[in-house]
Amino acid sequence: MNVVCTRELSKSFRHTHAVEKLNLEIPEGAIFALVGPNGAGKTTTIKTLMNILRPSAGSAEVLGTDSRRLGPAQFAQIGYVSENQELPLWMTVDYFMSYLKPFYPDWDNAWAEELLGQLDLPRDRRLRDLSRGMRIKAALASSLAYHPKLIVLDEPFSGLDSLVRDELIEALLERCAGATVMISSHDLAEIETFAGHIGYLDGGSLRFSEEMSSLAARFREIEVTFDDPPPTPVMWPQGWLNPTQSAAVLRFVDSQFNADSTPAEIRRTFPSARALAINPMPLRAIFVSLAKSARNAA
Amino acid sequence: MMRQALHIFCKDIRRLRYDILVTLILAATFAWSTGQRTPVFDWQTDRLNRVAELLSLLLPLAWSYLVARAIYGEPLPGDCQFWVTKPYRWKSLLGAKVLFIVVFVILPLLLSDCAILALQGFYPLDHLAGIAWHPLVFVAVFLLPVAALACITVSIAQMVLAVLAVIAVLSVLLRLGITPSTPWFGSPEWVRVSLAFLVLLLGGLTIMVLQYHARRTGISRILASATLGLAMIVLGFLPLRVEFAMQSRLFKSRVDTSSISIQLQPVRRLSPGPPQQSGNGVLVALPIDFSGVPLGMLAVVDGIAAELELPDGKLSKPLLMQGNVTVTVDGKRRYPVSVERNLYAQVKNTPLRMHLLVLLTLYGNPRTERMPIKGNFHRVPGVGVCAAEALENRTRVGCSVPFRPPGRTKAQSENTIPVDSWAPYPLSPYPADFGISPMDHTEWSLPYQAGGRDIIFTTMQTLAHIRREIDIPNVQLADFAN
Repeated sequence: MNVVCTRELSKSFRHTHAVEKLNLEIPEGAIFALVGPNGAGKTTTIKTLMNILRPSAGSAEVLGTDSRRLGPAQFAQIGYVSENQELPLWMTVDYFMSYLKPFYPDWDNAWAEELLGQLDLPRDRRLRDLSRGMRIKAALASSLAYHPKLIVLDEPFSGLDSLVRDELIEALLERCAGATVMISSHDLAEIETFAGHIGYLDGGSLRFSEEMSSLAARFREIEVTFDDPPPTPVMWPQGWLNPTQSAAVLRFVDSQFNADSTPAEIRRTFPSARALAINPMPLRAIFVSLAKSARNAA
Repeated sequence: MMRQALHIFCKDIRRLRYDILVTLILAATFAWSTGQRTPVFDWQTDRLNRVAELLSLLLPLAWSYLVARAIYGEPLPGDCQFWVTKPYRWKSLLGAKVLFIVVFVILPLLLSDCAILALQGFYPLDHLAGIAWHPLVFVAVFLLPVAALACITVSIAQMVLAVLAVIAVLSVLLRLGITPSTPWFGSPEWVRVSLAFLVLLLGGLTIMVLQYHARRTGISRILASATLGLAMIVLGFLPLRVEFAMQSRLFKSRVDTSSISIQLQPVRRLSPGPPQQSGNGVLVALPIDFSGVPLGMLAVVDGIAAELELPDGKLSKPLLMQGNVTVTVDGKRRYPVSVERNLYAQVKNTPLRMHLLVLLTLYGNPRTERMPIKGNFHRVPGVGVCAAEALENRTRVGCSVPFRPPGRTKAQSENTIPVDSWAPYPLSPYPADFGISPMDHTEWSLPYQAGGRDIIFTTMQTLAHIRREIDIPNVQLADFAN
């Protein structure tokens, strides 16, 4: 069963198309990372899913309910944390938690206590007196204390130091087993350690959405060495991205790598190649090459 | 639902406890200082009177601020508020805000009313209708638009900017020459004021429900502009005839008025001289007379509209009575209407047909009470708590009464003619009018009479609103100017 499912979802602001014909499926229990450069439409997508914004066209279902009809019953099962969320800054951490408690039938006091302890949140401090990282932690604690079925995190780690980020990820992984997590980020390094699925959004359109393992398997950095400056191939395969050349070495990214067929195809394309190096890519490098490729295409 | 509403309400109390405390102190101070006011000027209470007057301005602002802050606890416009993804029920949230207004505005106002009445020597339970109506009118007329505005803005600063923008737009419209076509007469205005506030009330309620239910800020802002525009149109452009017809329909006539007729008095031409000016117009004083007014009754003109059939066969714009001021020439009462200066210059000596519409209110059932001039205060049955103050060559009489004057009251010293009060008598049927003080204060300025002992009050009840129309041939405006 898909916890989130969109069909041709679009959102425009006057003449700006923030999200265009988005078709996305997030299976139950997945940790799904929605990635893309700044301005790709990640936040708009999430806000549309959360019924904060109304879709301009298409539709979305969240927990089996049309996103436009999300109400108290659904929000009692959703934990939403966003980098630009306006929290009630006048509340202390303790009061914030106790204020939210009656809204959730499944609020777990013991778990809430544990979360506050694990995230090292000062209970009697007002939210306004906390650092940005601490506020995100408080928002996260308040969004996990009722065992939500779906956790939606919109750029939660943006601007946080690595220690706080690791603490949050640790809390998320430890505390949310079984929940579906949707997390948006423009920095792949921070999510590649725990995301199982990934969707790449660029210019409001979803370029791909797949399991992390298959993504890592199909992207390779290829380095072809020649005796002389390499010839320009007659046919440049579509999946080979961002070719760069320095002296007798040609580098590019293969986005459709297949261990059986790709080496042979490279040799067919470059018969004069002297050596061939095929290197796996970290997620960050994949993201950068995709962004660069999109920019070049534009 | 109720439990969640109470939970949010308690949160709002906790958040706004200092603001609440300040408004409660202001309300208590207002009640106490207003309760000490005297019907006529008194040095001893002068400072308190000033405090009461200041607070009558400050308190509505403080309550507006409080209500807006309560609503901004869960701001409705925008897409970053933490609460929109929490399991809030919109009815609970709206209910919490309504409860907040009831507990911290309506209830203090109600208690303030009771305290003021008691301090002024009136028994609150004798004025239950006014006590119930007064806070509701204040909230519906003043606080609900404020609350609706808070629902489509995100901060006090934005709200103030919105108000300033409205004022700026109105100023521009006035500069462009778009001014109200229907003048104010001072008596049937309650109809259009009520209609305008009804528009604001319905618009405000719709905006609040729409915002809390669906947070459609764009549509709500358009609706707010449309509501304001419609209210302005009603206030400025509702034809006098419609206004008067509604007043007549709402007010059931208690007497047969068929015998009453109007006519233009045959008067001699006024002495030549430059005609009196009023703004862009020339004042023409029409000598209108009534006949057939039943004995013991008083017919008072609420408004006059005169249309002239011009030489080209077209009708002029209605010439409207200027205020409810009358002039007396040769012992006959005349009613000034304003004629555009150019039109007057063109047709002043041309005999024209005039269509005259006169709106009248008939008062009757006179009741007379006496009050000794000497002494501090006197409770005058059917009039209020009254006192007289001797000035150099006048006697000033003041009366305080809960919520509304009991009727159209004239005052006189012995052997002088009765005098109307300074303020026009309100014709609205409501048990209380808009304001935060439950006390209505009326004053009369009477000619001083040596040796006078008593002030005589004659109170008359409204019996009917009637309209009369006549056509008068061969009217020359110059005959009535000056």
